Amino acid sequence: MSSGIYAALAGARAQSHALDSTARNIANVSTNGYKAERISFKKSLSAAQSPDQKYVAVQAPSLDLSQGAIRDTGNPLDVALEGKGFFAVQTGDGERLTRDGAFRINADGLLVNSTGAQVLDEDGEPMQLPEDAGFVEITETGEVFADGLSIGDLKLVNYEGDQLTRVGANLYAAEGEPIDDGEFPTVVSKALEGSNFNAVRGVVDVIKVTRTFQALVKMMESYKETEGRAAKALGGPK
Amino acid sequence: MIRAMSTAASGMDAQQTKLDVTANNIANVSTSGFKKGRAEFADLMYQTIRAPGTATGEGTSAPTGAQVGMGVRTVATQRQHSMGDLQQTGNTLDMAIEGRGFFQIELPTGENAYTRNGAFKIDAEGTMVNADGYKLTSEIVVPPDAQSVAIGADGTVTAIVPGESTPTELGQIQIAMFANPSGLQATGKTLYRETAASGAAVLANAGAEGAGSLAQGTLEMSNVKVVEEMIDLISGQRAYEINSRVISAADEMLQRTGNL
Repeated sequence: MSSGIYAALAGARAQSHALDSTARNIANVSTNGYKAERISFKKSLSAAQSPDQKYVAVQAPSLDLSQGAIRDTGNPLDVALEGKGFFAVQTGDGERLTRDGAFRINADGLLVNSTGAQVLDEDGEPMQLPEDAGFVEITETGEVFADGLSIGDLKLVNYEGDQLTRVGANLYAAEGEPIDDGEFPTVVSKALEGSNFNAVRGVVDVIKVTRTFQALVKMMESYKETEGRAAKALGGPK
Repeated sequence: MIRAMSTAASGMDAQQTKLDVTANNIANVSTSGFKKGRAEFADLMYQTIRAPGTATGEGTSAPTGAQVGMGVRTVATQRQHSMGDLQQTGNTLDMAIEGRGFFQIELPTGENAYTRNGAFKIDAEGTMVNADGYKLTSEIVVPPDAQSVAIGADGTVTAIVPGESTPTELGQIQIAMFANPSGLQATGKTLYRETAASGAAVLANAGAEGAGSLAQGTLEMSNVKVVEEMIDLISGQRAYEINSRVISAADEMLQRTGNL
């Protein structure tokens, strides 16, 4: 049997993973603070064509941490980050990171995110707002004011994409030490960061994947035909 | 590939929720005291196929992990309690809350509900009620012979009665405030109900203790901005289409595989 058919098969498998990845990006096009994932086509294809490896392993999609579009909402508890970095929140599984700044106050007066995880302040403590807080303001540096009184600063941390693991609900788990270069993102209040995935790119990705897949299937078909003919000529099953 | 299909289906579902919320906002663009909703989404649980840092050999570890997500889900449809525009109506019993808080209304069941819609009327007994006939909990009864009714910024209601030189005080309208107004449950008719997430209602006189003051002869309009809603409508519709395109792409790929 020719090994080419396996190379095509591996390529087709890689394309189907790429479609899964694109589907996730497109499904999250309206998710606040969503960071697109990228699959490297080149890597998987060159690996498929190399003579010693015919199968492509599942390529880990890399995280694209580029900035998403910031849009005004007018809601005082909405915050967006401009530049690299994350908000820190407390979940049942420990501290997690997020770029989704659609915060609110819960019944206990704690600042929480849309799934109820507590937003942390600089000291790693949940951000507590006074019970009768009327006007909440968040400044560029992440300092939170309630009725003109400072309550604390939002915890902002920065990690590289490869230190992060997605855990769902717009959260990331971080591994290792945060980047400590003294640079902090700007906090934009009354605004939210949209997904950094462009729907137009999504359509292009879908077309690219389907066309490549078609070509690879065609390749498999021609291998099948060639081998069929060879078998016939050499007196295989008639 | 089957994964791509269900992921895209979750995306279509999310966009449909977004359109539903937008449609409701647009439908209520002229509803006094209406607060627009906003759908919020979060990515779904990730399956970790290979965790980052997994050992790949002696002394080496995978720099990145392999993870597969399942799409998107709607986590909240949050109410935006920003102030709507105020409109002068000249109607004596119309009032708007300038600032924080809600009017407290008594439902026929005896429970309390809260609203920002200040279009009040007088029923057959002279009691101040909302458009559905539900009483204000700060009960105000206007005497049948009252010539005029005045509502102060602090919520004091007075009436001029024939034969009296000074206005008669009818009562005081109190404003209910919540730690987290976004946590209130909308029940329709621009009424909201208290929930564990909103916290308990704190009553205060209008204009005092952080409560908004009252403006007589004015109504608070809906805080829906049509242009913003139109943008949401268009982007939601397009995102829906693109998600459906992923499904047809996955379908086509499966079909080709099937024909091999």
